[in-house]
Amino acid sequence: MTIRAELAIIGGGPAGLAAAIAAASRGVRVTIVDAGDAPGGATALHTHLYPGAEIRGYAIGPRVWQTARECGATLLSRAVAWGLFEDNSIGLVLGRGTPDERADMLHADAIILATGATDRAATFPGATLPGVSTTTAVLTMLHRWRVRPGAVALVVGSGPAAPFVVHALRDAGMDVQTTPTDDGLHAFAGLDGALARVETRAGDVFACDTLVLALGAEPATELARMRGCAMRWEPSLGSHIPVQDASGQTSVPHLFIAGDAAGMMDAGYALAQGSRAAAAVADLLGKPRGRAYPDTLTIPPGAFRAVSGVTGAMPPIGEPHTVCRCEEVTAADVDAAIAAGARTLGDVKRRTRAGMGMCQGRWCSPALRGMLATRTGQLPATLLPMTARPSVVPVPLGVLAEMGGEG
Amino acid sequence: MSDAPHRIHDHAVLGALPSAELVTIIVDDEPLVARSGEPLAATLLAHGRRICRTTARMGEARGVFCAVGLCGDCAMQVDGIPGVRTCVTPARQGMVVRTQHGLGVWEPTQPPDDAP
Repeated sequence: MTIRAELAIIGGGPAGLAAAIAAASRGVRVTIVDAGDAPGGATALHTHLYPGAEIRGYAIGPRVWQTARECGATLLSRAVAWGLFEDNSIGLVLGRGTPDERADMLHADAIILATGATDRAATFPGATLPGVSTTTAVLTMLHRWRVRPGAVALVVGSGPAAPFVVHALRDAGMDVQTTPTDDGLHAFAGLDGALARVETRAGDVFACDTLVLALGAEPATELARMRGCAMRWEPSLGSHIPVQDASGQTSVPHLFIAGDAAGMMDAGYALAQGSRAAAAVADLLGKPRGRAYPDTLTIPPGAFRAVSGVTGAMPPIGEPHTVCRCEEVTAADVDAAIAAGARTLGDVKRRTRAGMGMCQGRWCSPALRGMLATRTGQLPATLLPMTARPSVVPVPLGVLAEMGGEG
Repeated sequence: MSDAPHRIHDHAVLGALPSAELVTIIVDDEPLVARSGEPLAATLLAHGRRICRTTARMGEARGVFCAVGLCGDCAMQVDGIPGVRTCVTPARQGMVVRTQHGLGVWEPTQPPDDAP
């Protein structure tokens, strides 16, 4: 079965939902693809009040989706996009993780990527221990799963999520301490093999069973890169983002980007940019103008916007620190590849297998870029992300093999 | 009420934990109570189990890192199939979960019965 839409929106967070309202209200047939059980994206994890909008994060998704549904938009939940192809078709997995898991294709005349951002990992010794996780992970555990990952947490870093993850941990009854950087950290396991203690370069010792990395986030641009979008370096983010015009149109015709994936890093901006991209799509598809948009939630931008250019610290040369978590490639392995002539992320990937694992370079690319920059003197801006190939998320081969429909 | 010590029963903002159908899963031969449909990783953490697998190259312990299906550290053998990301796999009655070592072993079992 192939799903058809005039506009496919990948991602059901603020940007995607706002886009759905703006397009559907002008008569565009809209399908939203969202990986979560319910829409809202990153905001679904938040319990804090958004200043100026006086709404808690977890209420944003249901509120904006309600309007989008009333405008006639369709939502596919628990649906993950694994590929984006030249004919504007999107490979989907539906019912991920359930016995009904199946693959399908979605064909659309226009696409808006609203895929959000991925937290940054770290490479200090012990960063792979059970008990170390990201802000998104901890907020998911506390607010979606309703479990405490432990009793005593250390929040590492000064990324934008750090302040409210500290509050979230305390609200959930955990002890919380903070340390501003991951540079020079060493995490140690206890007898059970999981995190028990962290030491800083300055000699501080934190007894903790939970370590939360708050090192900012990278725009999730895998699908844009797979489709061949031109990319540019955004210094305020420390990341590459697709080249985009004022309405979020990328270098690929009929492909737009909005929200964190476009580098916005703010829910208020995401709502506005999603609307704007969808208006451009509706114009492109020749839909009539003139109707006022339904009331989309407005969040004053800037409330939580912070420069997201915090990156994880780079490992010293030749150390056994794990850089690629999936393939267990160490800093020493990467340094050997650089010594042997590797100069790009692709070079390092081909020589070491870094980036060939389950995450397809999502977690290690920032560290590889930083290592190449510091070891070879290249500007990070010139160190482009790895080539993105299908599939960008793991899909069982059996699920793909059962996919039917036209070729 | 489950006996999971890390469950957040009452949250300052989210309120009381809604009731849910409880099911039993078997983790490394030990029965654990799970909320039906919650990610297996949530059940494990609720019971204080933080190690999901050990790695192929260095035999290092891994647990839940990203919690959204994007890293693979939470992968375990589920119903005999290795590499199953427990953070995006809903718990169902009778699921058999094992700590995975390296790439694991492929030994699929019958699908678990859904208890009435």
